[in-house]
Formats: sequence, C-alpha cells, structure tokens
Amino acid sequence: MAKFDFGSGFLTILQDSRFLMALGRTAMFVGLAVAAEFLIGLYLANLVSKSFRGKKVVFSVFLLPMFVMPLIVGYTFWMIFQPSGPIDHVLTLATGIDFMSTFWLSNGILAWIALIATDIWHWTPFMFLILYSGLVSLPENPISAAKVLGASNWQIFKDIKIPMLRNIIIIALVIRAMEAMKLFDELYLMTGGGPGFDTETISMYTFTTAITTARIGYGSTAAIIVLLISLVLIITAVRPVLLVREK
Amino acid sequence: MSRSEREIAEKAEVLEEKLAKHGYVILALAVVFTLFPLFWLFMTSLKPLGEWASRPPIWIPSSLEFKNYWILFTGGNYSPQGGSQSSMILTFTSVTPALIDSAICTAGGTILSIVVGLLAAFGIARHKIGGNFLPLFVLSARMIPPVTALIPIIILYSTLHLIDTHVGIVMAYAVFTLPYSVWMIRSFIDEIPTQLEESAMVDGLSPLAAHFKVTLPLIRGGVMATALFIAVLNWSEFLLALTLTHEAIITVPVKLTYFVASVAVLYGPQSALGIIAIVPLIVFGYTIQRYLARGLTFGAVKR
Repeated sequence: MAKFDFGSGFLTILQDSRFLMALGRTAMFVGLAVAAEFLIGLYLANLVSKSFRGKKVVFSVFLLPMFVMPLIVGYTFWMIFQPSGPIDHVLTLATGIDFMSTFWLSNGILAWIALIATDIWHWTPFMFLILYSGLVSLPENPISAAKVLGASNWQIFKDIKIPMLRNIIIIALVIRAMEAMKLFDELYLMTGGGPGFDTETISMYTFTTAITTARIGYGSTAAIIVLLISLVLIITAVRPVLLVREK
Repeated sequence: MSRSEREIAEKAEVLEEKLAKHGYVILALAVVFTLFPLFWLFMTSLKPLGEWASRPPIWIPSSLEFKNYWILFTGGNYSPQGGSQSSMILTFTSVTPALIDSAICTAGGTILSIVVGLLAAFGIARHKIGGNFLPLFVLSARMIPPVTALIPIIILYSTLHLIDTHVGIVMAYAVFTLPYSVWMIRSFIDEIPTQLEESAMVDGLSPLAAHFKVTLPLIRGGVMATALFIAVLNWSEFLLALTLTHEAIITVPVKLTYFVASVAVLYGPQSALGIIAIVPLIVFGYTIQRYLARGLTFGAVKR
C-alpha cells in the first residue's frame, strides 16, 4: 500500500533546474508568439476591415492556416526549415549570400525562431478572425463623432476601437495563450525538444517524464504546478471581463 | 495631452499614413507568407518519392504523382517510384472510413459542445449561475494538459464500455472543447443588452423563449464562428482519438501517423491526406462566411 506523499514531490520538482528552464522557455514562447499573433492579427484585421477589391479572397486565405492539422503543420515546417530546404533556398536566392546550410532546427536560437514563426503562421488566423469580426461590428456613432471632432485615425483606433474591443481582446489572448502553452505536435516533430533541452517546453517535459521515462507522479506534479500558475495568471487576465457583468 | 504624447501621436500618424499607402504591399506579403507553406505541402503531395526531401529543394515536381492521392482512397500496395528505395512496398487501407469517422466525431462533438455551451453560457451570462467561480472552473478544465486527464478517462470509459465507440469520442470531444464554447458564446451574449429580453418577457415570453427567440438570432454569427473554431480543434484532435479507439474507429489525425513507416516517412501520401483533410473545414468555413460578416457581433444593437 503506497503512502501519501504530501509535498516532497513539489519540493523536488521546484529544485529541478530542467523543469524551471522548461517553465521559463514556455513563458517566453507564449509571450512572444501570442503577442506577435495578436499584433499581426489586429493589424491585418484592421487592414482587411476596409473595403477593397478581392477582400473576400484575402479574408478566406488568411483563415486557411488554422484549418491545417498541427501534425501536418509540424512536418511541413520541418521540411521547410531543413538545411538546404526551401527557406534556405529563398534566402540564398534573395540575398545572394549562401544560406544553404543553415541548420535551423539544430541551433537553439534558430530553432526557437522557426518554432515561433510556425506558431505565428498557424494561429494568427484565429486572432484575425475574432478581431476582424469585432472591428466590423463596432457601432458607427462614436467613431463618426470622433471624426467630426477632428480625431486622427490613430487616435480613433487607440482611444475608441481598442477600448470597445477590450473584452474580446482579453478572451482571444487568454484562449490563445492557453493553447500555446500546450504546444506539442509541432514541437515534437520539428525539434523534439532539442538540440539538447534547448526547446523543451513544459508540455514536452511533462510528456518525457510521465510517458518516456514512466515517472507519472513526477509528470503529474509538474502539470499541477503549471495548472496553478496558469490559473493565477488567467484569473488576473479575465478579471475585467468578469467584473463587467457586475456593473 | 503632454508634448511628448503629441509627438508620439504625430509620429504614429505619419507611420500610419505610410502603412496605409503600402497597405496592398503588406497584404500581398501576408498572403505570400500564408500561402507558402500550403504551397509546399501541396507540391510535396504531388512529388514522387525521390523529390520529397531533395537538396537543393525541388519546387515543381518533375512528374505529377497523383498516385499519392489515389492510393489514399483505394488502399492496397504502395511502391513509390524513383529514389533509392524503389523496392519499398507498403500496404495501406483506404482512408475513406477514417474521413467518415472523423466527420461523425467532429460534427457530433462540435454540435454537442455548442448546444451545451450555449445553454451554459445563457445560464452564466443571464442568470449568474455559479457566480464568478463557475466560469473560471469551466475554463480551468482546458488548462490541464490532456495527457494527465487520460488515465482517469480510460478507466471511466472501460467501465462504461465507451472505448472505441462514436458516442465515447463525441462526448470526449464535447467535454474538452466545452470551456471555449462556453466562454466565447458567453462573451457574445454579454454584448446583447438585457433590456431586449426584458421587453420580450413583458410581452409574455418565458425567459427561455426570450433567450432563444430574441438573443439567439442576434448572436447567430458569433455561435457559428465559435463552431468553426471548435470544429477545427475537434478535427485535428489526436491524443484522445489515439487512446480512446482501437480498431473500430479511426480518425484522420491518427491515420496520418500510419504513413510513418519503419523505413521512411511517406511524405507524398501523408501530405495528400493533409491537403484532403483541409477541404471539409474550408467547406464549413465557406458555408458560415455569410454569418461571419455579422458574425462575432460584439454589439449587434448599436448603442
């Protein structure tokens, strides 16, 4: 009969530098990728929300990456980022400098650039979809009133549109951050956490400890710690949305 | 507004004018960035074996290998031409059952998730059920890495004989996407003023009828957009489909892993399946696009 072990697992894992590093890398990845997706999505949504020729086609094209399965995204980008692969080829042809043997996925920093670019490609459409729909359905009155009063486009964007979209921005960021935190398929296929542990995130770490090395308790402890941290962060983030209801 | 703020605003103005002038260029760049990996995937799906991973990369295949698509539906022996491994022969079964199973599970899971999510969202948004705790509790279900939830689910499903059944997968899909459907739909409901429902209730509608006859039509686009996102999540779900099925049911993401053979990864057929797997979602996205113009309506009523 196994005895309950109160807390010693937590103490051990919090002293595990591999776990802490994975935690830090996950935070870095989520921060960079989600911020970039949000900014690009917001910018493109704002651009596409104006009327121009071919708008429907552009709109549909921007949604496409979201439809591709993560597994397929993973190995498509794995192929693209191969040394002497398409990216190297394009860079070499474009700049005239020989990039043909850039080992994107076996260099810590380049691997992160590749992974973040992959995630931006895959999930900016989600941000785009939500922010676009938010932007086009904003009420006209405050915007035209501000125009009459001589506000610049930038001021209207910053002081009227963004505050009106606040709730949806928060929810989009929270959903995206929660999903990005669990990045696995692309990571597993592209780098597998390597080179070394350079791209090992928390989901990769949990997978390796719980499944590959069969330390299920240890992996679960890591998962619980991540759950607690993300719970605190997410409650902080969605507080304004919850409070709106009580006004 | 202080002086530095004004300067920043002016700089932003100049920047924005420049960006507006180059809007088309930026859009074109974004379209190229978006389409390039898809182009590569599509080209790989038409390449014969030797050209899948050649260096320098081959942009346009020397001969179009439609066999990569054809073999998916017919099944049978696959012996890719070209390359050094031309003697390699692999046997596949048709992917048609996988596409059907995936469609059933995705449609079922998405509909269940949206229906339950809609009811829950009305409860949370309109009747304050569970206060602030319940919405967060619902959302927290999505924060747990699915790997850690798997073992209890497997035990539960074995007891209930749900392993390898459509019902089991549909329920698992619905449960795992419910947090997002509740939160997204709820945010749409929050944007519709309660006064509309109240006046409908004065006219004699029950609260439930007011929800469904007054608010629901206004958030229809939002519900559709949520459904699209949930369908994307369900369609590409891998871990649950892998562990909760054995042989009676197989979904497309699981089928995809079959192309990783012991000798090589069959990128041609795998890419072809990847391309085919996008099609149902494009169709779904296209169907709901007319709702999306008014969709995700954060303010259906102009205030």
